[in-house]
Amino acid sequence: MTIALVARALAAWTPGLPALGALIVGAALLGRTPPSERFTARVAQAALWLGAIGSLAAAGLFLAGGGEPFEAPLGRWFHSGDYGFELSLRIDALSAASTLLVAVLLLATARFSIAYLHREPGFHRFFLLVLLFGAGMQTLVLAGSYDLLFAGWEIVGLTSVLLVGFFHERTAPVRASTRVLVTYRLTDVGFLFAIVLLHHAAHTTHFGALFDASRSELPVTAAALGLLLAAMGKSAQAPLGGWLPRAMEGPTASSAVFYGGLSVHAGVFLVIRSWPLFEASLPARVALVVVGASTAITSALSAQVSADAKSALAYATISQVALMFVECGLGFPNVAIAHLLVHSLLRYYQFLRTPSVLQDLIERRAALGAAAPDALAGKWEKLAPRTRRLLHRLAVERFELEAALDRWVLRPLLALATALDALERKVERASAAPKHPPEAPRVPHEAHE
Amino acid sequence: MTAALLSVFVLPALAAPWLHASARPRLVRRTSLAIACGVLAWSIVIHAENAIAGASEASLSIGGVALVVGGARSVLASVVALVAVGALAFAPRRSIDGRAASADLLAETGSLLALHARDPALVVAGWAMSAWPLLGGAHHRAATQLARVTIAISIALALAAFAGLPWSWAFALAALARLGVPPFHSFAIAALHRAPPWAAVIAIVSPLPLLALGLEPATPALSNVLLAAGVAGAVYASVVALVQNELRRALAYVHVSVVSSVVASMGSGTGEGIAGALLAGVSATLAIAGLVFVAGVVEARTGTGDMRELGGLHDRLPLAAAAFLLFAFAAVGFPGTLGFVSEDLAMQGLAPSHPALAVVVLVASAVNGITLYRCWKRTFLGPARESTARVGALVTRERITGFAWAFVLVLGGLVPAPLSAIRESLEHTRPPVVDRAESAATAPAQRTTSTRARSK
Repeated sequence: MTIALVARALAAWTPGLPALGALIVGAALLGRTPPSERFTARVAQAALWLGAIGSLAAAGLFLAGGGEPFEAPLGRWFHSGDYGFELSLRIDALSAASTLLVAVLLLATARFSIAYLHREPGFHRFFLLVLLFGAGMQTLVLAGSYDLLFAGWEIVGLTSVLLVGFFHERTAPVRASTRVLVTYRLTDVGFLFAIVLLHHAAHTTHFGALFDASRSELPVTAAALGLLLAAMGKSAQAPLGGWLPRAMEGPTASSAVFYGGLSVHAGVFLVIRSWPLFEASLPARVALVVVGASTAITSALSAQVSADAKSALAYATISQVALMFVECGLGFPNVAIAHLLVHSLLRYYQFLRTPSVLQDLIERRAALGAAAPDALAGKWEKLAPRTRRLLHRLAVERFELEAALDRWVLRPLLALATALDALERKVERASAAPKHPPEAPRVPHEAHE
Repeated sequence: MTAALLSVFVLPALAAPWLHASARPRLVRRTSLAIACGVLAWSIVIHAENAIAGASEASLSIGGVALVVGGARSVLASVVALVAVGALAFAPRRSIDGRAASADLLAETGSLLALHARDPALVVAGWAMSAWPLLGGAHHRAATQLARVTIAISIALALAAFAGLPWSWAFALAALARLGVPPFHSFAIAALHRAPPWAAVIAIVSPLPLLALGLEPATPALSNVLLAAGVAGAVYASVVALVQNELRRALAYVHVSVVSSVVASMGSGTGEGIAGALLAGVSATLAIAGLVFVAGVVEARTGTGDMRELGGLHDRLPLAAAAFLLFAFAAVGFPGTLGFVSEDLAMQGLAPSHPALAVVVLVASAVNGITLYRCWKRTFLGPARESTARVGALVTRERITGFAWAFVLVLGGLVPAPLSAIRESLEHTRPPVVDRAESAATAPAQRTTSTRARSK
């Protein structure tokens, strides 16, 4: 019993320990003298190791309980009248596996980054953001309600944006971070809307209570589609996936943990977690399949024409994540879970190795004695030349999705805004004009003669 | 209690003429800041006394002047007082002379008067006084002219109730004008863009919570008007904000958009919506004020507010950059800040009855977040420029005030219980001005079903 209590406490602290680490590093940065790299590294590793112990405790509790899901209530954050924001963690197969994955990848990232970012001016800022990300990601996977999951979701999004713009003295990373933020902010509207709908219908967003309730009482299609929109943004699904290749501007370690390992799979996690809603809504499942299939095809082709290794990996990641969407849409969420876990680990490793990909290629060729045969190239050659040219052009132009968004959404909006702004300034200038215009200067009488 | 209230109201008003006439700038700055801090301290003490006693609102009379104190009003009074302190602490020394200090304290007195008075005439007088920093005419012509016109409209509408207009409607329209909800927003934009930051914040940003308090819709028709005006204003301002190149002008449009969202939430008429709106008013006031203050700090050091000429300030002003980012996320409801709590409540109030409008307000909020991030990015990130290469670090008073500001926003987000008690104080929901005016009217007041539901 005591062990169970201790394990519960440890599990409850899993999201809190990285947050505490972030607080310590942040407080140290506010001092007159910046902390040493050793101090920051030790705080980060300690927080992440303790968090990993909490993840183990959570997984252990789940297994010890015979695989039965359970909830760990943490209290109430705030309330107003009948509405209250409850804090609770949910430990089931999905969250137990996910929290372990998060803990392992964060530990690996911290260890890798200590050497990789040694003497980098943003060393402390990087670890602050990674710790915050860890807190957010653990909150996301362990959350017992949509409310709490959304809080973790937002933290993950913010840290992602700030890490993309890590090298802020350059223009390209800063611009890329804006693109990421725009996508996240607009798609999160769907998440918020779904939460409010569910709360209004069921007076709760707790997964246990919500999914035990009769589905006929819930606005399943509207809520599922709102959640799908948010998942599309986070997991870079078409037509909202243009941000991911640009997000490679950040440090390699953050690219690996965010866009190879964890953050990009958050959308899939949300869909799997919300499976009872999707299961009850055929339109939502159809949307999953359509989005996933179209993204898988377009991204796979875009990966083939990418000029750099990181972009190619990014598109390949999007393609695999899209397949997870298809798996969910076809009614196989358990397959999607397994796919997610394995893919996270593989892609994380690949992203970390990206700077060495050329070296790896040379060593492989040397070991094989020749270039490995490319089966795909053979199939490509069998296509008609016109088809090959068309597919190549579409792939290079990313199927003109971004161009369409730019032409039909962004530019008209900005044109309207500019016109309205011009009108506003005209009104302001008119109100600033003096009531009586200054008199014309008098010309001396002698000048006329 | 009476002596404390008296000092809260009277001291700043008594000090204002002396400060105005004083020719010793250093004494003026220190005295005005001390008085503002004193008012803040007293406001917090009064609120704490009320909270400990478990008292909601109470009526009392001081010198024949009928006032309502306690409950939500004591919280909002603390917010008004905090903004007055921030305005003086963040402002560059050279901008705080006798005239500025007296205007700041007069505006604070006006806001507190409007918040607590029962007499409609005093409320209107308080409105006018709270805009004094803009009406004085010492600033940009556009800001002054537009402020005079809009405040006059606002006062005229408020006084129109005496001529027979339904008080709720007159008050609501007057409040919309005073708050700067489109189409009455031009003066707010001009002021936040061109007037000194301290003046703009005191006159434009600070009155938001106290005006929101009186906006509770008394009829379904008024509710619909507030909803329509709020949603349209939120979208309009968020769109125009996207194309701004001047930092403070962008913040001005974000402010107008956020204010409009608060109005829309009040228009929902539900308990959660109204509580969310009031909390959003508090959160927005603190967040937007903080943003404008930081923008003023940047402008004072670089000599420009044009973001096309800024950039690369992250290394020179790291604390300002961090503060700006924190205030920006508080303004758009990021988890862990007071804005998240208020946005959550507001959506709980608005979405069930008006789901489409709730989506529109959420999209406007998302666009505001994008605008604020772009402002931060263009001001603090990127390669350093010549205008920003030799910028001085924050001074001690700026650091202390910034920390305190951030602390309040984060603490309010992590422990919102004391502020969420605003909802409980709304059991006696009608603003005293409306009650008093409508009790004298011949037609009985109409209550919405949501008000009945809320009083359960």
